Amino acid sequence: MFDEDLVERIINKAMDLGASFVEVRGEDKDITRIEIQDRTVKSVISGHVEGMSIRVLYNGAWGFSAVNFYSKERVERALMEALKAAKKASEKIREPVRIVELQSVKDVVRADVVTDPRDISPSDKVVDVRRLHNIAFNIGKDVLKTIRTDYMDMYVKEYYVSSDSRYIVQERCITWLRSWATGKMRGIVAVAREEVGSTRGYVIFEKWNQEKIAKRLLDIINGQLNATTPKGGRFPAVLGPNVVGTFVHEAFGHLAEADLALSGSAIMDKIGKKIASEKVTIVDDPGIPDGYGTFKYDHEGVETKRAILIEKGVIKGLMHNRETARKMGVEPTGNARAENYDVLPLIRMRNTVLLRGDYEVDELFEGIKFGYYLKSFRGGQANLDGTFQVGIQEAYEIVNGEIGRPVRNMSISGNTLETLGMVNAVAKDFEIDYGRCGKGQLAFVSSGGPHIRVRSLTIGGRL
Amino acid sequence: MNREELLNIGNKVVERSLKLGADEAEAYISWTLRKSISMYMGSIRAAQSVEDFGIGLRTVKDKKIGFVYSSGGGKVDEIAARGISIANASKKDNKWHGFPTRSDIPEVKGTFNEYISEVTLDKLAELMHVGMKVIEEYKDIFPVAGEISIYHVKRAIVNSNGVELEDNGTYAISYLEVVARKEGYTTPVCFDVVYERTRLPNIEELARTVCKKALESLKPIKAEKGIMPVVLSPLALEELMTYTFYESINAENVYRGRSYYMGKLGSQICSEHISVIDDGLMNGGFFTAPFDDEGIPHKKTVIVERGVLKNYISDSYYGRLIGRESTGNALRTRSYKALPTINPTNIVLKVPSADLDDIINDIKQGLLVEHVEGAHSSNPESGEFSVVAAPAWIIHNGKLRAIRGTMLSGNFYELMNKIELMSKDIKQVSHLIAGYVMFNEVHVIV
Repeated sequence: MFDEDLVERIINKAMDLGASFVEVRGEDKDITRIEIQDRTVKSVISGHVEGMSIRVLYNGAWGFSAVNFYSKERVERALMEALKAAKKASEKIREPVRIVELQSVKDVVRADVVTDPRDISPSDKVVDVRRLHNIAFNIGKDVLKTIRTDYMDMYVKEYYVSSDSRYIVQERCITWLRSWATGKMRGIVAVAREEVGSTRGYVIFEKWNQEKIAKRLLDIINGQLNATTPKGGRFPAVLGPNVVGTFVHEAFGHLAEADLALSGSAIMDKIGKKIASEKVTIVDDPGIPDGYGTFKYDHEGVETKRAILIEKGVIKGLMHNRETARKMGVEPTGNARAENYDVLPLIRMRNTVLLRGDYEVDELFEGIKFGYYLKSFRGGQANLDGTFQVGIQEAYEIVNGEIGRPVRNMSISGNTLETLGMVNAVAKDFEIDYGRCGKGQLAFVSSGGPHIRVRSLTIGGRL
Repeated sequence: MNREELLNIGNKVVERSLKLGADEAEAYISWTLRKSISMYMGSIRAAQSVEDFGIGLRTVKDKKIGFVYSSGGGKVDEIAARGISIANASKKDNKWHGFPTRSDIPEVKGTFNEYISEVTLDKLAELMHVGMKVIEEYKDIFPVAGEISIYHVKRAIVNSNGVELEDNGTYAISYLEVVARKEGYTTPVCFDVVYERTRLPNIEELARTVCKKALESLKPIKAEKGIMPVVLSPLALEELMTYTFYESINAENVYRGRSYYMGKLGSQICSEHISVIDDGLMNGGFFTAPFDDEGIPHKKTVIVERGVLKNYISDSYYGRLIGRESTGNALRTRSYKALPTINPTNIVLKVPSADLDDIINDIKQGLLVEHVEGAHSSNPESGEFSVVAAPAWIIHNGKLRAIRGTMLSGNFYELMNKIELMSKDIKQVSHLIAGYVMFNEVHVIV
């Protein structure tokens, strides 16, 4: 489907017509989705998408055009559309776009897959997901009211060809599963969510078998049903890897995406400054084994590199694409990602983690008279001004250094940099999780870290 | 791609599926052309023209239902065959009662405009330029991002029960995001969005609105905690309603016992001066169309009448399961790639109205909230929410002062009882058509 000669001709033509840079991205993607509600198979979906897009830089403006039912004429037309678009946009730009050009490369990257999900029949996948529900209803028969699971696998072959002579074929595989369970007892409603995934193919139930997922969901539900509500105010807190991951991704990570930083995020004037204790190092690492954000080339054909965001408390750098790297005079980090071939790549996170320290997990709790242990999150959001809010689905009181009663309906909020400044202990454990990030487009990302202790954190709840 | 071609492909796929042994089949074909101009990092930087065409097919075999989709055309046989095999992988659904049958389709107005369908990127770039010029007039304001996007969508639905429909619509969504920066302080992003069907956005007004909001967000103070009246913008209210109210009026959630409003038809759920209507036919509404995405005619459905719950919104499947008719609320959110699911069309909120200035002037101590963050972490069943309000202002005897670090929490369904007044300047934000709405007694946390 991806006609090399045609693509070559398109790129040459664009350059002849005055483009300063041009890239062609192609995609051939197979998707399976399964949605199961309680004991009902709500949907079994199989999708196939093929398409290509052309992005040209002309006179300092981007022109972009995509087609998904292509013949030669359509592709040529797409190029002319992209060029025309760029010309029009370039008349109105305030600051011309310039990008980092790279050395030529030719590479083919295969997906590192144990079991290709395309080799497993949809009906076998349905059986596996239903098993999770059967187990959950068995072990949770007194409290479980409803459970819903969304499963997805995606195998995609991507092509990238650019005028700086980069020719890359890269395959990626994503499997993903998320369950929502609702429990009810004595009029109290509890909701639990668990999300797991892999880049190694259909190995989800080997990494987390159905018993383990079901048990996690019911532990969270039982905790909430027997929980007290949080006191509002400021308290010391211990954050588990899952909450640390959400915090470094949502609260800090977005501020360190160069496009948002250059748009005035709260860290732009703090680069090179110390904002946290020596114990805090945060990186966006494309090399973590089986992380959702582990891949060799991004969607601008750039080799991915580890982006060091905070090193020993000092803000070191940002996550870049070709454009922001040029603007700031640094190397691109390979953070440009596009959800599909038909949208422009944006700066996105990959595997964003806080690196481990040297405390034992138990030590973090010592000396806390009253505080909270935040074990897993429900959802979170952050704003450019550096404020954040994260909902917590599993939390406990800490009383005299010991984990106490479970707490429900909790959220934490505050100022990200202030909060990082209050991290006073980092443990030596480490875990990543699997999630999806929305920034207009969806990206599969991982995030994580060890347990950490925060001296004082704003806890939200009902007054 | 003309409309007859879409119907032709639909007919072929359905025919082929039946030939291969399907009991029923339904093809949804869509063609979308998106044109947009994007501004980011303070400048216009990109223009896009993206064409997307594809087929979504629901196949039923022995009451087992499968859904397959494919981009591009001309692969009728492959798609039909995959449809059968995916249906076989599913589980028998004894509640399945067939696809909708043919019905009379109403006429709607304000859903298509030829000029919009053919508007050039040139024109859109010029418009964005106008917006940028307006932003430049304001001192201390920095543009963050923005986009003007025009969609021309053609869709066709063909099923084996005789439904054979096609239509054509135009959509324009435009937004701008700015911040104000002064004396080392950067405000939260001030954002506003305009939804149109048959005309281009008034970009100048949009730009002035966001710039003013941003300037008013400078020099924030800490709010005081307490229980007080809160005035929510339509944007903030739509966010909260999406994750609470819209979930609970959804027939699927009612059927599954996940709705706060199940068993409450005919009961008083809020004060008697409030009404809520799902109007899929209103002139020029963003979600207005003659029929929904499974071919059921759109309707005007009264959800709440003078505080009494009258109806849920439903598709044909869940409508039947709760013993009511489809209200024409099956929507495919991502073109041919998605199954139809129950969603509101245009939600019209009716509340006694007053001028926004008068509403604010009458508040001794309260809050004005433009955006909320974190509404997606609400519990749709219980209605409990906890969100960050930013930008937001404290109202003190009718005077506004920017605040920071403020959260609102509570139960949205209980708050429905606390709706007092709505401002007269009504606009559509995604599904919601409303003004600024004043709620009494909201928990404010700092």
